[in-house]
Amino acid sequence: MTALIASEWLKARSLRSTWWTLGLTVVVVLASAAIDSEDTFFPLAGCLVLIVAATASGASAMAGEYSSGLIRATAVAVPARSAVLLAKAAVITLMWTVVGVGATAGSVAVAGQSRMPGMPETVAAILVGPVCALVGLGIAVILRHAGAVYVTGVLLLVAAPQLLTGDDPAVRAVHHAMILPGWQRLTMAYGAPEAVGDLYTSATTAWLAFLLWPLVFLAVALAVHRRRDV
Amino acid sequence: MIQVDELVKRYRATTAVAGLSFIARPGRVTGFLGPNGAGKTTTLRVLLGLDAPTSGRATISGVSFRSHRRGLRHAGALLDAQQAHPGRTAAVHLAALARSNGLPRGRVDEVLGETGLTSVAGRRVGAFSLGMRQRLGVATALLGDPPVLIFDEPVNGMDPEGVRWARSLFRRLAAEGRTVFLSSHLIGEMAETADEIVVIGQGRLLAAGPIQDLAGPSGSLEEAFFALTAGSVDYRAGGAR
Repeated sequence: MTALIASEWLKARSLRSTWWTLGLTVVVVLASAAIDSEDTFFPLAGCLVLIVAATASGASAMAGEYSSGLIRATAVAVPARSAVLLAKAAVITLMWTVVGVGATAGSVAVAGQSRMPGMPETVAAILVGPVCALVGLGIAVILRHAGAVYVTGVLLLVAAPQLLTGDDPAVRAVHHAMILPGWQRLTMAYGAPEAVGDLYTSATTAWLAFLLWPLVFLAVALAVHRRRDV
Repeated sequence: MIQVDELVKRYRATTAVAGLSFIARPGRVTGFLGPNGAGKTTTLRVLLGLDAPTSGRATISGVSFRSHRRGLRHAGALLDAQQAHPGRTAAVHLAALARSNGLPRGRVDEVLGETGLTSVAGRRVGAFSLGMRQRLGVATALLGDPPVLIFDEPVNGMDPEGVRWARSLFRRLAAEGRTVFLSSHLIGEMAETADEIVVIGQGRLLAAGPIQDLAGPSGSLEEAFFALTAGSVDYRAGGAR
């Protein structure tokens, strides 16, 4: 398995687009934190860019294999297809966690506030990247066609939480189970929970969303990828 | 050794392979001939575990390829020229595959040398010509030094020098005792290279045997091919005959 992870890491780091994506994401998140540092370390604008970039980057780890035909060479080299997918998951998790740590530490530094962010706030700001990257990877395995993959990723992770608003309890429940609302709760994007009421999901639901979204997408991807013709 | 036994592969309503059986032996170059749409590529895909058979078996060295955890030491394949990411260099493409199978780094340089790509190893695959991509595909196939090699239309896009090189490479690989399985629709090329021929049409076996036997008294493999496949050509220019 370490050999597979090393192989996938080599694939990731040998593409210029990887470094552009990671670098520009950190720059935009820091810029957003520097501009909008009134009462938060982690403004929404930076997070939305981070979500889009991480989702696309996770997706491209697999979409690139399908669009270039490399998937066939990979499948002949490693007939144990699930192992390849898990190795890719490990690499993008690590990559985006490092980016998350850098972007979060940088945001705190440039925001220049007198207080320091709390633990849940910090961890959520770090983990939203790897969480979305894994969801992106899962979507790419399931849908395969690059265009459909990227559109679905953005619709699901960025647009849907903005659209699913209102007082209907069912809509609200779905909204509360999504990643972006979870991030908003944990980083207290709109202030303390007591002040904004049930605009927020609960902290527990937020953490569950961070855990379950990548797990479910990865599980479905593994089940599909093992069986399907490539 | 490659064994295909009563293989059937259906994609929804389309039957690509309809009960195909044949054997390709070690130490021989076996040519795999058939009109477009005959099921050649599908058979190769099933052999390499890319597609699951609907029924029947296709094995390499007696086992189904999907049962291996790592594949490069068991079989090498060039399925088409599009199997490398355009943004990576040839050397990195090969190194990533070698690493995944725990092959020594030196193998990459060896196969680059063997396929004449050493001087362009640091160039990105996106800038490669079709012939160079084919060579890279051959290099990929050779990486694990496998006993079974499968090539689908390997000389497509190669210049005459490349075609001659490929021919002698296939002959040498077979002489080393490997099973070389070569799909092509270039009959002349096949007559130069293969020891045995397997001819299929519409997913079924039409003929199999040593090349001299198939060519018959006329000695022309091409004539023999047209006679065999006359009833099973799906796509023909100029309307039905």
